[in-house]
Amino acid sequence: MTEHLSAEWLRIRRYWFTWIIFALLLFILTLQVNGKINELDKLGREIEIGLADYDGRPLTDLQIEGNRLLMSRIENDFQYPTNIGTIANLATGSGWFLIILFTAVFTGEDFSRQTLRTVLSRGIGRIQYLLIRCLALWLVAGAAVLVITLLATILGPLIHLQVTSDPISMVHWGRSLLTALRSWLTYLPFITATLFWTVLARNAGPAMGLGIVLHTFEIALGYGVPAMMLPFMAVDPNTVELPFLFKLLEFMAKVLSITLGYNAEIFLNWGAPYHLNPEFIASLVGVEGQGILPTSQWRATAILAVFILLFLGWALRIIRRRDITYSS
Amino acid sequence: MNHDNPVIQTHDLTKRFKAITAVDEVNFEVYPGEVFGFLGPNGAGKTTTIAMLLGLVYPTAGSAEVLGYDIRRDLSIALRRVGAIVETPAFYPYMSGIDNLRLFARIDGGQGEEDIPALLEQVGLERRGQDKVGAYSMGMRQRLGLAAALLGNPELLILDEPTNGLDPAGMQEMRILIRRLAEEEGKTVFLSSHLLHEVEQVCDRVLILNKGKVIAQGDVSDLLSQTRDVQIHVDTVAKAVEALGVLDWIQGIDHDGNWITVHAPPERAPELLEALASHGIFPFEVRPVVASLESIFLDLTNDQGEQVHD
Repeated sequence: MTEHLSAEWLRIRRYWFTWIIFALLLFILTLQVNGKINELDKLGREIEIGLADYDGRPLTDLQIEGNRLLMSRIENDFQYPTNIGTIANLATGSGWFLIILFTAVFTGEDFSRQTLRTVLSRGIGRIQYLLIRCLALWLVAGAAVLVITLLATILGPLIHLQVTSDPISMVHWGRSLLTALRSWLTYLPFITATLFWTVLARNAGPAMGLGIVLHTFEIALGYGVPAMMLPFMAVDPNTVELPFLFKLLEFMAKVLSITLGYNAEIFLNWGAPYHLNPEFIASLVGVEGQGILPTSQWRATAILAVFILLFLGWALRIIRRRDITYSS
Repeated sequence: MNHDNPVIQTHDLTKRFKAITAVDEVNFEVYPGEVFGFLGPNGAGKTTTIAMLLGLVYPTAGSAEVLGYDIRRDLSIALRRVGAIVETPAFYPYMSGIDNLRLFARIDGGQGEEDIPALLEQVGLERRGQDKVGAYSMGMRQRLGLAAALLGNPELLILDEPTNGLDPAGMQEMRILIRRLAEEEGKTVFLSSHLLHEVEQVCDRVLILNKGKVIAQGDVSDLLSQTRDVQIHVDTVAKAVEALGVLDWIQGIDHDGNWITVHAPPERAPELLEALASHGIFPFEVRPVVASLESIFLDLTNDQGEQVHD
């Protein structure tokens, strides 16, 4: 089994696409970190001059309060060593897309190039083939998280100096590393889901397309539902009759709450407020209300486990039962 | 040849894809140390049979054993002692030949990694091992496929059209190598091909498959000795045909120019000459028709085609 894993590792290392994906991940992550630091500057500048950067209007007290809230959040997140976990967390933004892409292409290739026949005719079982593939891809994700964590550990103090003049305290080391570890764990359900689509389609294209479209849909839902819910946040449903739109939003929120992306976010943030949670957004605009999205990390963990078992089990079942014909 | 423990044994092996029966109750045995030819026209079911023997396709009915292991239950144990090329060998084009072999050796459990340079030399790729497979010609891929099949020193080689894409010299080298593997290293070779002269040159026994059914099998020498025709060169064809037509044991007469072909056993040629002489016909030349595997194959596949058609 370790020899088979080393064979997968050899192929991953020799595959040019691996390095393109990794370079892309680092590039996007650099832009994300820069963006956050620039955002901090922008929010501070807005407070200083009292004008909104985007339309030049004077800021209200509420907006100033909102800016302060966001600034303190960014400052907290980017202080060393907390920023190690934050950077690993940020990397999942593009990382989940990229692992979908990589899993589909890397596995789909075995079908399109017909190397699956060559590999399976060497006597390794189909179940072993897929389990090792899954493990290898997850380890690749782990290696990427490790490199990002190491880079963040080295460059973290410089980022710290850009966001605050407070001295570096090492009290949050464990929490940071735990976040990095959790970020690695969140790649697994995306890998198993994409493996399932690839085995089902016997091709990288449809699997990649489906995986990316579904994840984009999750993200769109994640931004859309909480934002659209804001107007209803302060309303007590027992005293006011809520319109149909709210009922629809409630349904969409239920859908969102069981999506892979949403639960991976909850799991990743583990107890911290979800950045797209209506409660958090509402607090930014000074509205108090009850959040309707479940934010329990244990519930999220259970849902992710179900996703992993479901997709992997289904993919194993398909590959075990199907003929590997030359058209595949 | 040890006939007690066949290396491959099938029992009514059948594969149906919906309404199409690709392999229909095929029975054969392959014995240790022999080169067994698996012949058939395109679409005869050769690759499907091989795919079943390698566990890539599940049989619909019947069973088979490879190296004594049932293909439905314990095939993975047997496949550790089998090297195979299925159709065109598939490799990862962005990896070198050596790296592809290294990858397969690791999949096999790490056995044979140290033999890679010798294997590349054996198949004539020692100078191109470091090149990316994407830059290989079809013939080079076939050679690399054979090297991959030979990794781990397998007892049984299952080779599906191994000379595809090779130039004539490469084909000849491949045939010599296959014979050598059987004769010097005692490997059993199951060779699927539609190149009849290749099978004739290399194989000890042969099976002919057509439309999923076995239509003939046996020793190549036995099949080739099934000559039933005599060719006679005469100057008066019509008279000769008339003279021979009275012999009731002749199965038929054809003629082409001054040559007549009599469908009769060559050992009865003296009786034919006697009949001709009695009519004052004295042939210039008399010869038995030496059958080639090609003519037998075409006869058999055409016969079956006609039967199916009827």
